[in-house]
Amino acid sequence: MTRPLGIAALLAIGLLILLALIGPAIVPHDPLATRVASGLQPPSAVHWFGTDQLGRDIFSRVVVATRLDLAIAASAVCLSLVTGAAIGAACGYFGGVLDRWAGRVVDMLMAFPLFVVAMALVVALGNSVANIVYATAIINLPFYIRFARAEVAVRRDAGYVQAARLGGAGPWRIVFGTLLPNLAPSLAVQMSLNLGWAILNAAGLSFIGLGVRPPAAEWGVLTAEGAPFLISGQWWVAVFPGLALMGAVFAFNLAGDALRDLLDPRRRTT
Amino acid sequence: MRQSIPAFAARRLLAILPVLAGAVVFVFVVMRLLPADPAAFLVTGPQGGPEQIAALRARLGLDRSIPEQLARYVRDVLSGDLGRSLTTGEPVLADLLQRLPASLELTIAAFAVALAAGIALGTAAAFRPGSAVDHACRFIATAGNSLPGFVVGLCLIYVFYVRLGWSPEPVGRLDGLMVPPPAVTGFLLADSLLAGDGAAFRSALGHLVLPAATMALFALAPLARITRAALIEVLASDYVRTARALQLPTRLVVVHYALHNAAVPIVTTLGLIFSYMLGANVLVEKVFAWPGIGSYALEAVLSADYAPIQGYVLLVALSFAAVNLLVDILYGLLDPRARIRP
Repeated sequence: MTRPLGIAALLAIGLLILLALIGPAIVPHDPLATRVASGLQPPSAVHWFGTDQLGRDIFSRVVVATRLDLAIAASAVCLSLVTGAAIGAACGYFGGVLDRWAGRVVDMLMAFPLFVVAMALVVALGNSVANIVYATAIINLPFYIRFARAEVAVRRDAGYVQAARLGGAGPWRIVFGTLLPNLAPSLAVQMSLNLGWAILNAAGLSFIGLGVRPPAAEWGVLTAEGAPFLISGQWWVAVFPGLALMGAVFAFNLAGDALRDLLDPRRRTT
Repeated sequence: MRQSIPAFAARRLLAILPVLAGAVVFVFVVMRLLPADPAAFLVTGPQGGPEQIAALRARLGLDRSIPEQLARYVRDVLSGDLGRSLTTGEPVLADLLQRLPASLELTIAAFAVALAAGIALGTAAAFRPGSAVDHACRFIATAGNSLPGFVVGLCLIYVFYVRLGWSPEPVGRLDGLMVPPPAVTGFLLADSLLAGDGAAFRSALGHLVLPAATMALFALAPLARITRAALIEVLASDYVRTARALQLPTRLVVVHYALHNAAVPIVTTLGLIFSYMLGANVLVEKVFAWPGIGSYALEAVLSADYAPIQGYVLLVALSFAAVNLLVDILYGLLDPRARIRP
């Protein structure tokens, strides 16, 4: 069951990345060109996903948005992966004061619903795309810190670590050269699952008016822009960006599950 | 040594106090990082000269040192003074308390639906692994994790309001022209029943269905997944095999032996799910124009109004801590081993 689904998910991710790279070059219409006369047209052969109130082609806007959505999510996840794994690994290896304080900060962060923390952070840091990335990275941090800490603490005195120590490797070399590479497969799974979540989070923030601003195309913003027209029956303005968002998150989650089954037989979902 | 339930609860209560104190400081620090000066933001009229800004800053206490501001803030929070909303002009605490029942009614309704449906689905899947029900459960569990609440809400509005006309206009908690029943509990469902107002009850219920379903849908996913995993493990255990070999009635085996033991991991995820829901509240309340604390915080966010955001985040942290405390106590009740002090 997982194999074909996992392959389908990987193909979908490949398509998304391709669209993110060449999307703006291949779209049939200029995503920002307004033609009010042909506004709010239902999907047709010319406008596959219809047009919005300003006559902009929704298909082109949804495709162009891929780049921004993926870029926000990927940079946020990379940022939290690098910092989180480093902090977590250091805590797990050295323990002591560092570990206690990092643990406290993580606990405190987890005492809030994470979407609310992200909201507050974007407000505090200023309403911009870069700050959405930072906010998403910060709310992801606890998971990576906890994960890397637990895994490193378990392996701290494993045979190969002792061998490295005996070979004269310093603590930093052991943590970054020996221990972290051993966590890479599990971290990759975590990252794939996290990417879907990061996309959702960033789109949610944009949906409520934080971060990405119109007329920039981003799935959350596009959905928010289309929401008022839903009531009067023009469903396509909001639904297509929403479906694109859903599909992307679904693909990353499925790929994460499949990757976990592949790399980590102990935690198989079946 | 095994502790009694009250002693266990008291110890858990003490354990969350430092977290709450940390939360207050965290909220304060984050809000003071704001580059936008709310005083400058507010005084934008033609008479908004530098001296008006200075006067407003003095009134808001923004001209003092940061530690002094923190001390004043902590003192105010402890005395229940969360400041005044600059947009509504009311004290934040009053605003929040007035809107809290709306959010609670929505969250509790969604939580109840998700709990019932998630456990039923997970149980059905666990008894027949590999069956159609099991595949459906897996699909819903993965899909539910991927569904953006606001997209689901919009789709539900389109189908059930615009197309089918089954649900009332997705704005607020009651029909526009309806007089709300006298507020006793703040929960419209309870209040309308207390007042014997059938029409208001139906209207309130009608307005509640779609937002509650939206929130329930994605709380359901982790619940179904955990229930399934926990039950499969329990059903494979020796004591269930023994109970079955002794030909105990199936209901007794399922409800008393299997579900009781599987409840432990399920209960521990409840806190996490509740946290998801508090976050999702903001989005769902925006989509359905629900007059709860989430939409209140959102308005404050968009108009850079400090005090309501601080109040909201604190209230959310407090309710989250309260739910986690409840979960801990429930856990101690279900699994006496949790109450053993090392």
